[in-house]
Amino acid sequence: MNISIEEMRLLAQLSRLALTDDELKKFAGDLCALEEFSSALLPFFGPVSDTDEPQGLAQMREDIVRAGLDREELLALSRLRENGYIAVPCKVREV
Amino acid sequence: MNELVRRSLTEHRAALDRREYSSVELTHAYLNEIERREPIVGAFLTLNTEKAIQAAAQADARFAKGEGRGMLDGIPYALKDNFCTRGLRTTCASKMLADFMPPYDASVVTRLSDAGAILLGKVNMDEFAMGSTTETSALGVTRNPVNPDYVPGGSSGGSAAAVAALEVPFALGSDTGGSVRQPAAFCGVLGMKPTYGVISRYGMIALASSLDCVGLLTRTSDDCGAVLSCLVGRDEKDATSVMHPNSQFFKNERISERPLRVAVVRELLEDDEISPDIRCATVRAIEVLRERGAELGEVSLPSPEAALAAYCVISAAEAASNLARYDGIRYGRTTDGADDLFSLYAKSRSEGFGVEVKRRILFGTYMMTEDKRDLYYDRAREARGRIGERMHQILRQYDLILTPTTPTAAFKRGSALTPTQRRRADLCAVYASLAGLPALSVPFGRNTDGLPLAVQLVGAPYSEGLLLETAKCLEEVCQ
Repeated sequence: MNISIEEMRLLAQLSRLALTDDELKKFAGDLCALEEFSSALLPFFGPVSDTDEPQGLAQMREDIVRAGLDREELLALSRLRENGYIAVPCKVREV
Repeated sequence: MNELVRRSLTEHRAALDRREYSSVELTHAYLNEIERREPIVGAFLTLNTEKAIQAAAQADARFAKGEGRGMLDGIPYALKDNFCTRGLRTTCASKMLADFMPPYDASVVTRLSDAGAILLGKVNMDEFAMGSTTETSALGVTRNPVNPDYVPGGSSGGSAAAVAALEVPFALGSDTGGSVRQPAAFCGVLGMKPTYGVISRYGMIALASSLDCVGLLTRTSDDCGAVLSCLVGRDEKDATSVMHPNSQFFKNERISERPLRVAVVRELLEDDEISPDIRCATVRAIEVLRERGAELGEVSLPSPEAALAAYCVISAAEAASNLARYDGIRYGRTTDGADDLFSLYAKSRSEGFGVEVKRRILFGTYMMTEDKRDLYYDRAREARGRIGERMHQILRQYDLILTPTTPTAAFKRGSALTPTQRRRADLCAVYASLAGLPALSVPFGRNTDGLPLAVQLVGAPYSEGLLLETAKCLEEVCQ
């Protein structure tokens, strides 16, 4: 089992992590060891439904509107608050 | 040391009811013990001293008016730092949440507060509950109170250490693949993972949602029953929570007059990883139950390697998904050096998460890539299904399954173990987690180094009462 540095870069991107090349190499070795550890699963196979739930069905609460947490209190948790909103770096610009 | 702290929760209840001492005196006794033991033990990350004393005074006022709220009224406790507490820092032992002040209480906190229990503080853990030694905490070192050269176990290491060090009579932890039972075993206290869903997880910071359970750590089975009685119940804020058919566990009654039928798992006694002292303790526990009239039988389970691998893959995949919420935007750590949205996410997460958390997020993401999902994740779910079916099949023939809790006693701090070696500490614990079954780690003697040993009892869904009753038999032998 081997994971290339390019694959690790993609995994880091999918994981939203900024990692150095040294970190990527170290984690590549760890992931290979964990994958090998997981090879005990290879004798298992069979259809598994995407919606099965081993612990039983979830019981959803009634879909009715109730008072939630205070907006200002929630906004106060973010360092990026601005004029009653959360402001993030611009993703799309008008040209 | 104030001798009060040696007493169990149920002894405190009786003494408070007799007015032998007040809740304020009791709270001060534990706060003093915390002050005395913390320089060595290091269980607490945040203390709640002022509010605890206020709450104790309110409990005393209720007692004076004859308006006590029951078993836990006026009794101090500690919370693992992954339960949200309104206005009290909740860190998950991570730099990501080092300053996080939740705007709401977890449901278990509300229940305990309504029952009059006194929160003394928040205790250390492995970062985001990922680990088995509490050494992945970014915020402090916790030592095993039995011998500080050893780890307290994890991830609920602070909870186990605080109970074992007599800093609190009970604590809550969380158990995903043994995170309450293993530290309880390492520190010599009781650790219960109840049936999946019987205690609400609303406000407990998620690791792997199909496995996560609230867990209890106490010094006696009666105490465990008292706390469990307060916590079980359906909560509409947690869609997976279910109503427990029983509501009182502190008066354990024999469920049936026929002999207890106990299954012993061959693979978990014969595995090379099980150390001789643990094997001896397990065999001795089997003998004790046999002497008390139990009927013993030997059973077989799917291989421990497959169970560990299934747990490893499923928990990492779910963790990668659950931890996606820490994006540096709404709460938690926000980087100072981002000039675009992706680097805001990536830098915030890289600065906030430690190595073990990053490793598990990467592995979980890797396991969910197109080809690995078929190869491992789907097979892990199938293995989980087979393990669950086999466990349920055994529990139709037997009342409970007895195994070691851990392959070895506590190991030394700083042991250079690889990530896969560390995962083997969960060898005996993951079966009950994968099957959603209740499991209880019961202290059972010590080895020649003086370190605690323990056995694990696993029962059918909702059989917590039977597990506690059986634990009581084992406790009597150890006293």
